[in-house]
Amino acid sequence: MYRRKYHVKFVLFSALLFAALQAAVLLLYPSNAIFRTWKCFYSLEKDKIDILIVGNSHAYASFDPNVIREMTGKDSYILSSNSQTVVQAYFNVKEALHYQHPDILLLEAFALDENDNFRYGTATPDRDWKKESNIDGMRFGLTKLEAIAAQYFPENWSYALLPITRCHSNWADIETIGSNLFFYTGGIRQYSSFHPSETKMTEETKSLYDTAGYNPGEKVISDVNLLYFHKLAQLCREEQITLFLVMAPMYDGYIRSINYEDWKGKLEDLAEGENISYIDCNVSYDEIGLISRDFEDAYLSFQHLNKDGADKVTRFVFSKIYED
Amino acid sequence: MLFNSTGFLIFFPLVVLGYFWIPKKYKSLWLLGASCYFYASWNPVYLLLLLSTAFVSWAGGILIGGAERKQNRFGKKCVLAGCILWNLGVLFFFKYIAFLTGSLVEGLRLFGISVRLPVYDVILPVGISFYTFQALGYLFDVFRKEISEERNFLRYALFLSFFPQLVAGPIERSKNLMHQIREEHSYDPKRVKSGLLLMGWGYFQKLVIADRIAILVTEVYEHYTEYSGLQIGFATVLFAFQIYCDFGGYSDIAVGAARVLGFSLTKNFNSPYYAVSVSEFWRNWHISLTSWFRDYIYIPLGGNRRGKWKKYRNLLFTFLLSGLWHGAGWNYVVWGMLNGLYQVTGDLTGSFRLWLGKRLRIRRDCFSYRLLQRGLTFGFIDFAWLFFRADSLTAALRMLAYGVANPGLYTFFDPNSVFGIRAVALTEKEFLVLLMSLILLMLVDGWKRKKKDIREMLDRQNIWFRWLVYYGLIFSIVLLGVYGPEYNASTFLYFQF
Repeated sequence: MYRRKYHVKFVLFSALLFAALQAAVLLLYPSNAIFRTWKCFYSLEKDKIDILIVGNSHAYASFDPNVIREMTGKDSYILSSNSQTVVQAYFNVKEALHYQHPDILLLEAFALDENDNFRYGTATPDRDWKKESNIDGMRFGLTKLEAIAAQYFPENWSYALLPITRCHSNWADIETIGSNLFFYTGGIRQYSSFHPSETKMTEETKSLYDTAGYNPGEKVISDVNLLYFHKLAQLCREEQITLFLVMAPMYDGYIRSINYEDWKGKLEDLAEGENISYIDCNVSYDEIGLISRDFEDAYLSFQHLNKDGADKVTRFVFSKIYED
Repeated sequence: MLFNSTGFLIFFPLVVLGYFWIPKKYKSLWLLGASCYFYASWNPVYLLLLLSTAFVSWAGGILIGGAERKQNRFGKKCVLAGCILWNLGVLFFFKYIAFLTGSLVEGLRLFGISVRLPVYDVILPVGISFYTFQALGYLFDVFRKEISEERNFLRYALFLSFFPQLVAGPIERSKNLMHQIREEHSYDPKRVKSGLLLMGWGYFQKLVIADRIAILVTEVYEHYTEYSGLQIGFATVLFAFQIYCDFGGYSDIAVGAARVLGFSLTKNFNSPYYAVSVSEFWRNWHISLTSWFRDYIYIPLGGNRRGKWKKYRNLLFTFLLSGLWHGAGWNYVVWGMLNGLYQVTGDLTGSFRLWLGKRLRIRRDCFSYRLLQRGLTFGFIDFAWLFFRADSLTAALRMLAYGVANPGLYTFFDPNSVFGIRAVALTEKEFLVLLMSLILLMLVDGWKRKKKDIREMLDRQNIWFRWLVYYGLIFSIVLLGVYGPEYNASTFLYFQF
């Protein structure tokens, strides 16, 4: 009797502690998009999503779910994040399939770009907040464990599993706590997985692009990215989801500055090898109707579309998809 | 494996569950296996060293016991001498050989003699000073017939390698721990809770206080030329609390972990910074080591029974050894000697101070007098800590000279920064957390000194209050603790000894 009383108290104490720790993570976690995108995703009604979009910032800046709905009457959701690689995209899709079963999966092709700051890189540490936040947002389960095992060295698994070890020192960051409080007490209802830029490219920025030099460097698709691209394609076949590989548009001034033909050729071959459709927005500038002011005002980065540009590109891509 | 690693947070519950679940006859074996794994996770090769020390001292104990029964006094002494030689030889090789050869080369260079001695670049096995002293203590106890020799090697190996106290003490006496290893420890939730609470307090001291102070102390000590004398002094004051919370925190985790398993380890600290004299400080600081030196060095040398000057000689020699035990460096020697000298001076000037107090009509039975005594004691102890913390004796002396030449009153009281120390070390909010934690630490120590049992005090409270305290403790560790992937996992300071 004496022991049972202790054990009941212990279980209750631990349950409360666990809940409080979860709450602490929600309050202290840096307010980045994918963590919130996951929280919002889990709050969706089951099997509501028809179209799922994954990839890096080009994915969440280029496709507007409101426009998709207006055009097709279908619900879509963007599970993308900063610098998301196809490795993270694969695990995100795998996790998402526990809750939703979309008909279409759209992978933005920049997710295949070489990005060495992940587990397989040798020069950088086995940590990256961009990788972490994709995993942190996931609910605990086999997929999360698999994602951790694939992307972290064993000595860092505990840190990957326990986000509190990384965000606990935010206790003094009132701004983060306030922002999280706002999000979880109401902001979550207005949250959109689409994050367009509000700025437009100025003439000054345009002129800087126009004078940028040519960089003939080869675009490389790493072995890891290739492996996970094939795994993603296989997963889609098993789940009877139609996969599209879509390259979001880059400003033509920028395209002229890089060895785009090489990059494009590799992506086309990859799509053909997996027998999936490849849509390249960069070869249909006129058809889409893109002008320089459809891009955000940034100089010599992987520039993104702004809201107007996203509207045009969404219409173009989904008219292509449904045309097919 | 560190107590503040996630590995330990998985290892410990598994060991506890296994220990209470498996049949009695396998419990010791289970704990021995766990202890070996605990040690081997740091360096598997050095586990062999630990086991060889265990084997030699175990066999030595049996031989001493056998010689005693045969009344072979010479044989008994020879075995003891052989075991001491082995244990100290191993310790000397791993810990002191580089210091000795380096000092020899430097010493000869002073006389214009240049020699080249072989360099032994060996890694110091974690906890070697602790388990060597524990093994020696056992041999002395068997030799003095204070205990009978342990005939079961597994039990003896567990005595020496019991994981909560293996790498940084408390240095257990065979009289205290050996019989506990033979006894059965059943599961008692109340005791488990008490052990966990003590572990929690240990983690609080280590992660919230010691590791937070370490950021500032490291910054100031590594770049002392960028700071003033007052700032160096301030960092040294904080270091006094860093080392206390680091080692005291470790000891509390060790004692708490052992208590969870049903073992009672020696209390290692007893509110040392409330001491009113240096000798009282040493009675309350690292108690297991101080009592070891007292029982096996100071008293056998004659203690205080052979006149004043021999007492002082014994005291200085004991503290010299204590300094050397802490580290192979002249700064540790000076640190030990300073602590010995304080006590000798205190004893020599005792009657004069009494006389002066009477002449000046100083009241001795009041708070203000005790406060002054505590302040002075802390000042002396803290001054010695400077030598302990510095990288070498030269560095300590340079810091002292630099600090005296550059007191830096203005920068210390600069209103735009916390004591003029770069914000990169600790922000104002971090300072506030540190200050509150130190107040809590001293409050708890004050209660302990008044023999108040905090756990009992807590047990008398209503459940909501108790849980509030438990959650408060856990969340202060989780949120305010200094740890995580960006944090350079600092080992406990005493691991290096």
